[in-house]
Amino acid sequence: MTKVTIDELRQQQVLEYLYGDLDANDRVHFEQALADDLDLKRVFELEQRLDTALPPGFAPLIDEERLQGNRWLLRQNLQKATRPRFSLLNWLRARPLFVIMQGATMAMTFVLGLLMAGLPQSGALPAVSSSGTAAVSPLALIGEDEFEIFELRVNEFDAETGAIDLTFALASESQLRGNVADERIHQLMAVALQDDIGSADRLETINALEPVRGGNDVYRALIHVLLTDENPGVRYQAVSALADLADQDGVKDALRLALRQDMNQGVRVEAFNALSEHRDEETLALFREQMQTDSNEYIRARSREIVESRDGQDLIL
Amino acid sequence: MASAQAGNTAAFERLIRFSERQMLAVAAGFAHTPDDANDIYQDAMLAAFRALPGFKQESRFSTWLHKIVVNTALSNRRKLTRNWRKLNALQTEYERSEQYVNSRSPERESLDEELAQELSRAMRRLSDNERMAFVLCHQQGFKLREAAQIMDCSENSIKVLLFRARNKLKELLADFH
Repeated sequence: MTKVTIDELRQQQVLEYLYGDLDANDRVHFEQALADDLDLKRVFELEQRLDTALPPGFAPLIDEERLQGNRWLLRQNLQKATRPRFSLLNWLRARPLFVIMQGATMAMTFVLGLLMAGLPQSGALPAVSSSGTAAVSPLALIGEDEFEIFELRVNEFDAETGAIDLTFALASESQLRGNVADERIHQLMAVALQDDIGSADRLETINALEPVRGGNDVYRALIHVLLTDENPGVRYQAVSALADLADQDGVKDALRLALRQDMNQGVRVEAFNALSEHRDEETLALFREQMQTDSNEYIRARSREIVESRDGQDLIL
Repeated sequence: MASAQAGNTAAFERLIRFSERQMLAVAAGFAHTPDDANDIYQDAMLAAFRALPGFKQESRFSTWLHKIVVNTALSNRRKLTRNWRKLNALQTEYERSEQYVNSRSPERESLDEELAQELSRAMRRLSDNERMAFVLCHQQGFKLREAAQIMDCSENSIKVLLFRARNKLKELLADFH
C-alpha cells in the first residue's frame, strides 16, 4: 500500500470524526489514536487548518427580507399551480342545452365574422399603444377549431322574441407558421410578453424578437419586461436586446430606471454599458449618483471615470 | 400533513415553515448566484407540493424535503440555458457573493468578505456532487449517514466526495489558512 493511500485512509478516519456518527467511545478511541499516531495527528492538523479558516456551520445568510420575498413568491406559484384548469366538457355538462346552443352559435358567428373579414393590411396595423396593449386582436390569428368558450353568461333573454344578450370568454391554442418580420406575428409576440407566459417562453420570445426589436410595439414590450419581469434572466435578455436602441429617448428612460433600481447587478451593468455610449445630462446626473451608491464595483468605478472626464472637459472650456 | 397532502396550499406553507430557511441556505450554498438559489428553492417547493400526496412518511419529512431540494438543484444546474450562462458569466465578474454567517454560533459571526468571495469562487470549482456533499455536511451540519440518505448514495460515496471537496478547497483557499 502506498503512502498516499495510507494518508487517504487517515483522512477518511478524520472525516468520520468530523462529520460521522461516532459515539462517545469511538471518539475517545480516535482521540487516543491522535495522541499515539504522529501521522494521523499530522493529517488531522492539516484538516483542522481548513476548519479554522472555514469553521463548520458557516452557511449563506438567509435574512428575513429574502425569506419573506420567497414566501410571497411561493404563495403566488402555488396558487398558479393549483388554479383549476378549465374543461369545456365539464362546463357544458352544467349548462342547460338552449344556453349551450345559443352560446355556440354566437361564438361561431363571431369567429367566422373575423375570418370572413380577413386580416387587415399590415400598413394599417396600429402600433402597440403607449399603455402597452396591442391594437391588433390576437383573435384574428385564431383558426376555426382552435378555441374553447370557457365562460358564458346570459345577461338578458326574452323568451317571447328570442332576443338575447350574452357575455362570453374564449380560450384558444393556435399554431402559427410565418416569419418574425411579419408585423402580425411580432405584434402578437409583443403582446404575449406582457401577459402571463412562463419565463422560459419569455426568454425564447425575446430571443426571436431581437431582429425586429426596433419596432414600436416590440421595444415597448421589451421595456415592459425590463421594468416589471420578476425573473432576472428574462430582464437581462430584455436589457441586452434594448442596448442597441439606447439612443431613443423612451429606451434611455427605461435603461436609467433599470440602472437605478434593478436588484440584479448583471442587468444594471448591461444598462450602464448601453447608457455610457449615449450620455446626456440626465444620464450623467445618474452616473454621478451611481458612482457613490451602486453596490457594483464596476459601475461605481466606470461612472466615476466618465463623470470626472466630463468635469475635466468643463474646466478646460 | 393530511391537509397539505390533500392539496391545501396554506397547510403546505405551514408544513415547510420550520425548514424554509435551511432549504434556502442549502440552495444558496449550491447555486452560483442568489437569484439561482431563489429559483432552485421555488422549483423545489413546487415539486414537493406536487409530490406530497405520494409521501409515505417512511422517512422524516425534512429529509424528504432536503432530497427534493438537492435533486432540483442538481437537475437545474444541468439544464442551464445559454442565457443563464451569459448572465452568470457577467455576474461572476462583478457580483457580490452570498454573505456567510455561522449559524451555529449565538452571535452569528460573519465570514470575512474577501474569504466569502474566494469561497464562492472555490465552490464553483467543485463538481456538483462534491459541492452538495460539502454544503450538507460542512455548512448544514448533517452527519455522513444523513447526507447519504439525502443524496441517495452510500455513506462511503459521501466520504469520498467530502474528501475531494476538502482537498480542493484546501488548495484553493491556501492563502486563508
